[in-house]
Amino acid sequence: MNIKLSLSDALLHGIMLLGILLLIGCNDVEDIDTLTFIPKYQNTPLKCSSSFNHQGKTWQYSQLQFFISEIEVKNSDGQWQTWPLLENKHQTSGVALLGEYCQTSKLKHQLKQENWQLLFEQAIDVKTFSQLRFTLGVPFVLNHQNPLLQPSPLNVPNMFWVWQTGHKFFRLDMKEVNEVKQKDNWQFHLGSTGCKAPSALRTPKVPCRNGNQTKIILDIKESSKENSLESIDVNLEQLFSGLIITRTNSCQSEFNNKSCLALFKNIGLVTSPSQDLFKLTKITEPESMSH
Amino acid sequence: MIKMPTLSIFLTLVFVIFISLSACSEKGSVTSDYQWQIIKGFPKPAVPVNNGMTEAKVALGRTLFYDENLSANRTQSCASCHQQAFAFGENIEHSIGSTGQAHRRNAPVLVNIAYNKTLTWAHDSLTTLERQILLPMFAEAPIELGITGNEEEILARFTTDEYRSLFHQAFSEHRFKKFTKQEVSYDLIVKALASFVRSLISLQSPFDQYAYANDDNAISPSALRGMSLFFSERLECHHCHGGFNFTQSTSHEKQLIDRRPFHNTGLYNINLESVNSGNNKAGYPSHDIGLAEISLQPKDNGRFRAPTLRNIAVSAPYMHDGSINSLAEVLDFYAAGGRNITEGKNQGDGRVNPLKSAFIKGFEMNAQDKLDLIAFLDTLTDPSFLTNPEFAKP
Repeated sequence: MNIKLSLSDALLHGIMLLGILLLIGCNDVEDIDTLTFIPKYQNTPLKCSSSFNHQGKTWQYSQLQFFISEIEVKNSDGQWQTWPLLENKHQTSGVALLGEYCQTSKLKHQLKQENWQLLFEQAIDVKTFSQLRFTLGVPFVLNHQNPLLQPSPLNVPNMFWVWQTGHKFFRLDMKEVNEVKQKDNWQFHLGSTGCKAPSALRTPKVPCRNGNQTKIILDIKESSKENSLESIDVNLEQLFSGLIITRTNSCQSEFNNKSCLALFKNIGLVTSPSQDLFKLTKITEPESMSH
Repeated sequence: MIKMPTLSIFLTLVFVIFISLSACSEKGSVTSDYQWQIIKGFPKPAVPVNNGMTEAKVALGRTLFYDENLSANRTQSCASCHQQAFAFGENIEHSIGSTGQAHRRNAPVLVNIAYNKTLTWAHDSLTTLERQILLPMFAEAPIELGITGNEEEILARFTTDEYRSLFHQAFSEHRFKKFTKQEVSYDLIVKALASFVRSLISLQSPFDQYAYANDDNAISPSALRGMSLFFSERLECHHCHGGFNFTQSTSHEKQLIDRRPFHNTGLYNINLESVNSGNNKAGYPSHDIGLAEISLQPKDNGRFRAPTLRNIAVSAPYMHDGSINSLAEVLDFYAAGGRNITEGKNQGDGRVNPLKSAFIKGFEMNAQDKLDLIAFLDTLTDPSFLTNPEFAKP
């Protein structure tokens, strides 16, 4: 009897301790097992209900979602090592769906549609790593499979074109919110093109001519003295750079579309490996984070 | 010092958390004898935990579905407006209820409805058939089956020996004795009807042979060309009619991330400033404004759920109000990027409806494209579904 009691005692205390640790978070510990993404327009965090002014128009997004895969960190020996994800409805061990799908519903509070945080299988000590890299997109081998047989989140229909072209790696649908007669809208859907298959419903056997999976590399050490890797900004104004945002300039990843070319450049897909869409959040200037 | 009660409190707490977590999920799979008529490897529909599928429930539901005793004046059954030959839809613009009242909408087809994310044409929180079925049964505006006010009289019609035996087989798990007359209830009627409607699965079309059985010769070259057009970014059809069920408003047991899309397709754009319309300056006819009626948000004016395109060739007329007669005209409508109504009470140019979906932009379509698209849509017709004797009147 006594043994049982002390076991339960220990269990109870253990759970309380775990709870306290979870509440405290990782403020004083350098091991981290989550990574939060924060959508921003000119340093202001965004969500479904927030508007931002760009080129004289007021915009809101109705969907901002993207797949992240092949997440790796570079150790002190210069070796890249995989940082595996926990499996849940938003992520398989290798691919995560981040972002937000805005629903107009009176049941909005019951339908939480946002997921901005990667959860990892194990915590890592960021002090020992110099860089983080990930792919914006879904790797070819996973990209063109029968979506019905895929685990969540690879089975979300509105993030998938067809078997031939695979998933929409990045989807941003925006609409103008002013009280104007004719509201403007704009979409950017990133994904593979030039995929050889007998039809839309067949899987290509060789990688697509334009895979359009983008490697993003972020320098951990530069971001802050504390080596903190708490969050990554998704800077929409950087995405829009050099582009007029209007309905006729939407992009569905067509290789010969001018706005697509500008967007591909802004996400670091063509010409230069640099991009400013994803940046580590500078924690030296505290932001009011509404997330 | 820890005392025994603490342990039991702790265990109770764990139990309560476990129970509440299980209660959180509205739907889940239930073990039963039921064999879904789906392609091997296909995910099953999600079924409410309190109404798992069984053959006996489906059999009772089928009998009820075709029984005119379910309407107050014994003139209509569910099958009056949901006819198998029309994919469990109806070939008239608006349905007419048992007392002759006209419904404002076209009877939606009952095809793979077990996979629907939401039910009816425009309701974002009506997610179970058990709740939806109450509408045609008890609605008063318009009256459909007309049960309201006649509850006891109608229920008594289902206490025959034959029905009690069917109820007993369907719901005997908690009742070892013979079903009494008092035990027949609307709750059980609804559960059985929902089970039958969930059994109406259509996945044996030529398209399915092509897509899921890898039979390259299952559809014609013209249909293949139509399929490429359908899935092209130029036509954008699959943005709303995507996924295996040809509607993005689809879910299944493995689909854990929720989507409940509704779209304004530019079918109407009546200038409402002159007709006292509250916040809406332009929009759909006031008797049916779509999702806005439920959400009370003006921006949802004219937004309706994209229906499945399976068996679409047999379910004319089209749109929520049956206002387009043929598939050829539906294609013309989307090619034009909406509908311009030049006379009558609905006059207005839907093509410039400010709330129109960004994916209805219009497109070029030549005569061959149109034939090819129709050939493709024809491959979604599943003859075995339309003639399956298991779905017919028993």
